[in-house]
Amino acid sequence: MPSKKSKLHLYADECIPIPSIIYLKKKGISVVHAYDINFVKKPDIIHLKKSKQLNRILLSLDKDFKKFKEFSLQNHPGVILISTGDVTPESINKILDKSFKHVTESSAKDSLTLVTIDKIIRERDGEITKKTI
Amino acid sequence: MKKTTKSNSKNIYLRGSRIPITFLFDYIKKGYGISDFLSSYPWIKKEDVIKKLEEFEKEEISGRYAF
Repeated sequence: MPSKKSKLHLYADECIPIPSIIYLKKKGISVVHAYDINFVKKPDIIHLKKSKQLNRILLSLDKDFKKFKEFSLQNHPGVILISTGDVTPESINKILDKSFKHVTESSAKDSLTLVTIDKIIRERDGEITKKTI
Repeated sequence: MKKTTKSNSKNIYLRGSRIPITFLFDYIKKGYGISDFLSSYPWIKKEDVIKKLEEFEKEEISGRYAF
C-alpha cells in the first residue's frame, strides 16, 4: 500500500532495474527512471547533472560514482549508491526496504550515501559517517 | 549501434548499453532467465545478449571449464 506522503524524490540511472522502480513507486516513493526520459546510455556526469536539474536524489548501482571527482555534490540533492552482492531486483528491493527507513532528503543532500543490507555510509565534504541498520 | 567496449575497469558492457554483463550473470546465478534480465533493462535487445554470450563461448577461457 503506498504511503500518503512521498518521502524521497529520486532519479534512478539506467543501472536500476525497472522492477525495482515499480517496487519503489508502489511504496509511494517518487522516482523518475533514466529510461522514462530517454536518458539511457549517458555518461555518469550527465546523470549527476540531470538529477540536480530535476532536484532529485540520484539512485545508482554504479560504483564509479564513489571515485567521481569531476563534479561537486555541494548544492546537489545527493547520490544514493546501492552496494549489493547481486543486482537482481529481489536483492536490491531488500536493501531499499531496509535502508530507506533511515534515509531522508536532508540526510542525502550534498552527500554520497552508500547503502548495503546492514550499513549506511555517508560521505559529505570529506567527512564519513557510518550507521549499522 | 555502438560497438561493444571495455571500460577502464574490468567490467564488460553489453552492446549499446552501460549495463555490465556481470549483471546478467547475477540473474543466472539467482535462477532468473534472460527474459527477466530483459524486463529489467528493456532497451537492451535479446539479440545483443545472445551475441555477447556467443562471443564468450568462443573465448579460450570457456573451454577450460566443464561441469
